[in-house]
Amino acid sequence: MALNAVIVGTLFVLVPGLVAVLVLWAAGRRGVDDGAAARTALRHETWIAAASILAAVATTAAVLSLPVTWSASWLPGPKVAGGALAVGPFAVALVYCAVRATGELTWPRPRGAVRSAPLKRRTVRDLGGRRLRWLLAAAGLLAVTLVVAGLTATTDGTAVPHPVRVTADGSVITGASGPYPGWAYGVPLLVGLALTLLATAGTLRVVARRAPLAEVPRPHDDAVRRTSAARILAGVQLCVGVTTALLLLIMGAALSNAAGPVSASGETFHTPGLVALAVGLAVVGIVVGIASVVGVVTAVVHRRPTGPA
Amino acid sequence: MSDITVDLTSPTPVYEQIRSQVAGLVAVGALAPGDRLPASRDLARDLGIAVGTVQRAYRELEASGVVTSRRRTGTAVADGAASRGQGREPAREPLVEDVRRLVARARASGLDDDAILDMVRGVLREPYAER
Repeated sequence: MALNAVIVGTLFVLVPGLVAVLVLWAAGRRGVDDGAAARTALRHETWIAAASILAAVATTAAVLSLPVTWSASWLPGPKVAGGALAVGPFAVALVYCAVRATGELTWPRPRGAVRSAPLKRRTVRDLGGRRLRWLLAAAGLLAVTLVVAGLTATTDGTAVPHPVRVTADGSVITGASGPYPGWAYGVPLLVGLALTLLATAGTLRVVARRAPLAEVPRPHDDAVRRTSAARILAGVQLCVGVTTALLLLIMGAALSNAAGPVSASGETFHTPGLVALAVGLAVVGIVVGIASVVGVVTAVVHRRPTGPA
Repeated sequence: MSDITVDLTSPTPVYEQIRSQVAGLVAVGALAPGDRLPASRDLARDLGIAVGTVQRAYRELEASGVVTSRRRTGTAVADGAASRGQGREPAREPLVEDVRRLVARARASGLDDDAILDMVRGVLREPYAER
């Protein structure tokens, strides 16, 4: 039984990892003659990307194997159901960034008697471009969602209270629907989001500060750097996007339950506004999730060199 | 994009190689007033040399008015840097074209860059009737 679990777990990590490596390898093979040095640089970037993806997949498998609810009081971790799973995507993002940053340190340093460098500043903002703006927008959306959820949740932070309904005979109907990402989930998620953004900025800084590669034409070196940055941001965006999407879908489901219909004393209560809000949240969540996946797909391909060699 | 190239085996100190190349790029207009140079730490890392070497080059460039250094904005090409040392604004582009043609002719005749520079320095030291 234990052996079967090990085999299944290993396959769960190896198979997606191998698929990712094959996709990256295929994306690196273009019909353009970039020169031997540029091709070597592309291969090195592919290996770094593959290592970080394998680490991310392994972390995902580890997170998914965590218990939904911690049963022993001495175990560290969130005590609410699914708390550890909720922050799992940020753990994946942190590991992804850490492996990526470590890989960036394996690029060869300047050597030889004659060395050259561009007289141009390289900043995280320039390197990140549109992807960085999208990531910050997604992170902002997630943060706002968590704050709103925290403010509207019940006192234990796991459910959303139903609208108070009063029947004709004076009975008061109350209730709550969950799971709902109140502060019990929101605080760890906000901390995880902040740490992820810091790790992303730090990893992009390492990419920006990498010395230009000797014997690689400047435009090709820039293209490798932009490829690295795009893949870092796409991976983190996927983690943030998946978290946001799941959060919005869970909120939508809880609000939809809170909307009713609820019947008591021969009366039926229904709150269409909550239904509309639930649908809206679900749509936004699906859009964010799909956009994050699209971001990963478009980051697979190596950036093309621009400008004269 | 302008590149800096240093030769660690050259008898010319590395900081002087950096200084002269930046000054040359400003003189031919490849670097314009306001263009920000990389931080000394970043340029040193890119070239694999000591930070102090780049800092000395930047200090000498600032002393000669080619660049300015500010704590928040870093090092940037100074306003009017290309025309420094002259009493009037030069018609720079035609002069730069003349220099390009001179260099092309000198290289075509077999002179290497060091020999061309020696020739220019020799001319600069000749008695000069007008200034």
